[in-house]
Amino acid sequence: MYSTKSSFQVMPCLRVAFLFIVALLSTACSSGLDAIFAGIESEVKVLTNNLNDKISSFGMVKVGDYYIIASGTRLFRRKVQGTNWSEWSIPSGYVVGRELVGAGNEAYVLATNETENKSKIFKIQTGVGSSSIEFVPVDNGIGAYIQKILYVATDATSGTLLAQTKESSGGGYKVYANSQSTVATPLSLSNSVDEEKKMYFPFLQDSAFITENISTERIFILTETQLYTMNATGTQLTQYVVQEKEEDGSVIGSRSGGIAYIDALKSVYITDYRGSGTTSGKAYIWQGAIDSVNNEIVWTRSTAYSGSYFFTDFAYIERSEEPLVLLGTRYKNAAIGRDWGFREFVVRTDENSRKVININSFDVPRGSYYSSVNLDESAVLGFYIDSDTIFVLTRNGGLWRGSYSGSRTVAWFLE
Amino acid sequence: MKRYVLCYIFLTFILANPLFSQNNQIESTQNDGVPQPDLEPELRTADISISKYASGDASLSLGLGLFVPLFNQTFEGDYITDTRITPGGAIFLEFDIFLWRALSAGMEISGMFAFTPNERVLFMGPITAHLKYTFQFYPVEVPVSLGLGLSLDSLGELFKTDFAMKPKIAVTYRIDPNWIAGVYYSYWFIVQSYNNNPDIPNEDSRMGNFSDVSLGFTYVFN
Repeated sequence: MYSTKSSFQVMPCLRVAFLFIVALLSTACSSGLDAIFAGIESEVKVLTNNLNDKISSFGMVKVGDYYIIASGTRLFRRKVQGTNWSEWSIPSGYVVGRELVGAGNEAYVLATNETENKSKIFKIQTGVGSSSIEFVPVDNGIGAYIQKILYVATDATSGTLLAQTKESSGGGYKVYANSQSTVATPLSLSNSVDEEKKMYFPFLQDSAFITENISTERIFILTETQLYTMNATGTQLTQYVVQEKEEDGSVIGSRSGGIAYIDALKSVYITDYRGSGTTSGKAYIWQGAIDSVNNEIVWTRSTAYSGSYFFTDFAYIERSEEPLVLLGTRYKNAAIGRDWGFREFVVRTDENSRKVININSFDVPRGSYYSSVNLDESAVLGFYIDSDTIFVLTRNGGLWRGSYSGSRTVAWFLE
Repeated sequence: MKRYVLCYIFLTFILANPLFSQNNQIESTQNDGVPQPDLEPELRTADISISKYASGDASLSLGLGLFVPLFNQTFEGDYITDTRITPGGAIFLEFDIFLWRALSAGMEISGMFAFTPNERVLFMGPITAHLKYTFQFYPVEVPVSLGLGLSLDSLGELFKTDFAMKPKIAVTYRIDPNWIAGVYYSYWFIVQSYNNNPDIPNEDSRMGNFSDVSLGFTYVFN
């Protein structure tokens, strides 16, 4: 009844199958910077609004009931509760530069006129419930070509405007500061920094204002490679060296991108990158916890987050699951020759010491890679946080709006 | 829409296939006019109970069907029922060699596609080696197998090879000595571990649970 067939040799076939499986196992590998199954779990359909592809901006402000954003020769505004953006032209001949800043009911936009090599700050007049916008030029009093302004206003009675200009001679940048009595007053810049303290900077990256009342450093100004402090009245400027309490003293590394003071955590956070190029370095986060008792800032550096990128900006959203969430940007991956854009870094800190424990990261929005605007290939220019809503401004013209619930992103919109 | 097109193509192929003709070979050989030997009842019973397979027989199976995501599990034991993967399509190609009676060993190459909320396409391609036992209730057969191997998984630029386990059961009908058709059900258990991966946190490791229901046919080389 049973016959051994000669058409197939059983054992050689099994050997081939076995060797094939072994070969597959030995070559098991993975590529990419995100989990597949877990990534899809967090993916939500990206919805689009009417601003798609129109903007490329570093800043966004909330003035009254409106969000305002500026890009190129246009300024866009929409109601906080609305969805449609209205747009206006900024004054003829000017182009919006890097900055749109504001606080409370005031907003200012820095615009430049390339042909006349001059810059001007315009105050954006927009009444509550008004459908009109006026651009009121503000005499900046400097007369130089302003590269960047940083408006730091902490309450109704004090504020400091920092402006950075590119000098026609010397090849560097200067920072000008102005102190004023109320934020509602039209700005008038002057060379109020003591001449001896006026410094040539590497390109200014970011600043932070410490609201905690410590007697010395109140304003931090971060360049790519150095950190400076200024007192609250904007009259003293000093180079600042970060001193780690538990380790060797150190300065900020070869490339820093962002600084933020998070009031809820009473800490200053600074991004840091150490290494050559963008392939062999490591990314860190410095944390300066305010010690009000001893009137000092206690600095610690996070463990290195390996990877060929560095952080460029911060945002903070308070959540119940994690004591701290910081959102940073992975700026460039030289290994594949392109910008990588937005990536969410969750930084866990010890609840008591506030020391950074570890950093994990996730791509967000999941699935944006194949959406109409490719956020993965776009470096992030800035964040704007409004309550539990986060806006991400990207270089390739995307304005993303995300919301959180629990531990992860639940919805993303392309404005 | 793509799924409907695939289903239409598959059904068209199935309905047009001569395998499903009622004029199968068994009937024609039983009614070819040749006098049948007058066998004893005991011997006829013995004939029916023996295996239709012998050592060295081989079979090749092909099937197409519907892929259904079930749930994910974390390594901590949590269940994620909303995988956000749509149902998709599945295909398998299976080769078996019979070792002893209805026990066979073989390999299976299968594949699937499904979509994410932003219409990214998830592909998985398990390659497994399996042992199979075929329960025979002539003309119905119920092959049961367990396969182990690797799954080649990709999503956009992401790629990973994962451990794969595929239990499989089918209910098939033997059309003639060589052709078998039936319904196949596979359970896909894919272990996607990111332990020691510097770029991806370990808590993103998952055990994916999926299934597919396929219509397929088998050709037996004997």
